[in-house]
Amino acid sequence: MNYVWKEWMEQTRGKGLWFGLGMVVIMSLFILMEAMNTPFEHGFQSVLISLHEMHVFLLPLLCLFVASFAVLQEKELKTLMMIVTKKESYRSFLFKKSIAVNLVMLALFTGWYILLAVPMRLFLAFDAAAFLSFLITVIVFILIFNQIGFFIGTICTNRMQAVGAAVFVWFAFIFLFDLVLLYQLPAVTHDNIMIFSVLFFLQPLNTLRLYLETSAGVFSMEYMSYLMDKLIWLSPQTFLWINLAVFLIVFFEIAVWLRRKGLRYD
Amino acid sequence: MKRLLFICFLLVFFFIPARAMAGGELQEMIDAADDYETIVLENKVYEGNIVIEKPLIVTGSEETVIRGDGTGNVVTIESSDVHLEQLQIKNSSFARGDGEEYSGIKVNTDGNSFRKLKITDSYHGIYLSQAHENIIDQVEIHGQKDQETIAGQGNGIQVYYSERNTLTDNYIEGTRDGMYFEYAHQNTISGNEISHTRYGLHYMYSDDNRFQDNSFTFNIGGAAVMHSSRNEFTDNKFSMNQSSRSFGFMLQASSENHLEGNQFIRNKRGLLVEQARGNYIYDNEFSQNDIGVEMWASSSQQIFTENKFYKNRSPVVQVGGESENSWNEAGRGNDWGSDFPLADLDQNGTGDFSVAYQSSLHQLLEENELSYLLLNSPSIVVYEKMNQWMNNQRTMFQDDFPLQNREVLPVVKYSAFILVISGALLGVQRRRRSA
Repeated sequence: MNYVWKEWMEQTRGKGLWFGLGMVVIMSLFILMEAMNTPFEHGFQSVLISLHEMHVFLLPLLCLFVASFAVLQEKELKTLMMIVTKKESYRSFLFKKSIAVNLVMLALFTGWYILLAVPMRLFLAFDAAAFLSFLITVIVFILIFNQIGFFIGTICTNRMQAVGAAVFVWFAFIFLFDLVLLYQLPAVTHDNIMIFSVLFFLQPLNTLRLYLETSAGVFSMEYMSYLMDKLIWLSPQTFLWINLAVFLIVFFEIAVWLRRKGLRYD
Repeated sequence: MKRLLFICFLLVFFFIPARAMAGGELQEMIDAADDYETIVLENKVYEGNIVIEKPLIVTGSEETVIRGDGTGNVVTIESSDVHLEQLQIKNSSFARGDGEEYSGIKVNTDGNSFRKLKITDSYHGIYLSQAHENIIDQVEIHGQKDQETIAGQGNGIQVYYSERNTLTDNYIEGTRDGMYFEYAHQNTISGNEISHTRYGLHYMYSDDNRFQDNSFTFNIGGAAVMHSSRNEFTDNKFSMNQSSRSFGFMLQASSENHLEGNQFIRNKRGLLVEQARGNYIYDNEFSQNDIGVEMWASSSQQIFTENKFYKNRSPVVQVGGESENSWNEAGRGNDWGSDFPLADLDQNGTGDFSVAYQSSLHQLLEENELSYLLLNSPSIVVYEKMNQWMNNQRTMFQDDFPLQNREVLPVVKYSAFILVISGALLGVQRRRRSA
């Protein structure tokens, strides 16, 4: 509980998270107003997809910065050194820190979207199940990229390094990963589609989008071609949970494993 | 003895399963009625199947149900001038080995009308077979989507070798195709709403139909027009048809169709044109689609004029080689949105120079269907840029008379809102400081 309260105080006193949230708030209001002007009846699903498209660019970067700086601050203020030398292991510290940062960010972002649901309910054909799926994508977005952020904070020694690493990771997830997939497409056949499928769904942005589109009824899994059928060999929900588990566990364990990096005892 | 008889009567009365109304009774009522007589049904379940062989009016109330026995068509119309209104019709046969495809209502005659009906649990909803000048109005049809194969569920309304029918304000969901036309000419279809089907509309070999004010959402394909000519499609909406290879509207091997005033919003592909010739596409809106218009090389001589293309990931892609289509007519091109800024110094409404769009997406789309899944990835922008540098792009369209973009940028539109928010934030900050 101490961790959560401390994190809440630190994050709310700092300006970074507020700026990030402010951007999301303004963009989502724009999207909502744009959808209200859209001349068709299914503006609600359209808003959810547009918000998700906005998240693809903003949320990963914000999470990477917030989470990595949260760990780096502990290093810079030497509080991390005190914690790990006196009472806790790095694993325990990182676990509690993860929970604290995640809770603070989730509270702010899900809180905002629950607030935004009020005008959506008033002005659009609100679909509670689709909205819940959207909230799940927001939560998974934040959990996955925060975890990668903790990893960056663990292995970097100063903020400049963390900024570089965060931007690189963001670029890799947003552009590089799918670009590689695009160039591999001509080589994909019925025989090796499984390898492509694993790579495709290891990219959380692809998994999250498919999950949201299928849950909101936008993407139908019916009448798919044989190739598509083999590509989506599990339900989008299952892909989502696998994604979440893999990213949380792998990046947490690597961060614990590389904990000595960046810790200075001078 | 009397007591024994009374007990027997009670047993029969309470323990024999109650039937809403004997199956033959509705048929008997119909058979006993005079021509053009009105039969008013009560708020209960009547057992089918029934055949109507004389001109008749059958009306019901909110809860009036005609339930088939699952062995054939629930209602078969074998006479002209039959009028059915305010009925629920359910439970046709789904068997496909009998040489006949069954339906809630099978119509074999002309000049009938069907209003305010609700059809469920039926293979086809309404089947017009060589039936002309019928009216289908405000009918609600719900299909069973969870069939194992595509052929397991029939179509909402099937129109076969039938002409001059009018289909208005119907609602269809969950069927194979919403409306299926085969060799069906000169029909009028307006105000219908179709969702969660394979193709909302499916035309095969059907010419000279008029299609207006219909809405197609959440289908695999909004409308598929194949081997059909001279049809008019005006003011329809094709939106949110977003599966892997979905489209709002497909013209395949069809010619001389007229598309005007339609909206194609947020589809995987707004308009897909394959082996089609000489279609006229005028004053439509293509916005927020992954691909606005996908044109295969086998298509030619389409005319695109005065259409609006806003915020599509790619406005036009020509796949499989270049094809000859016209992107303007009589000095009027298309409005390509804010992605193609124009100068219009002479203020004549058209740009002072032509607009051309280069892209390399056609390569991806030709090579693998999975590329459609990645169309909404941000990496597509990088992919296009890289191919631009490597000179791998091809011209997708050239419009010599692009229309001046009238779209107002959201930033401009909402600038007042931004100012208010900024002012409020500054105010809060100042108050905090002064406190």
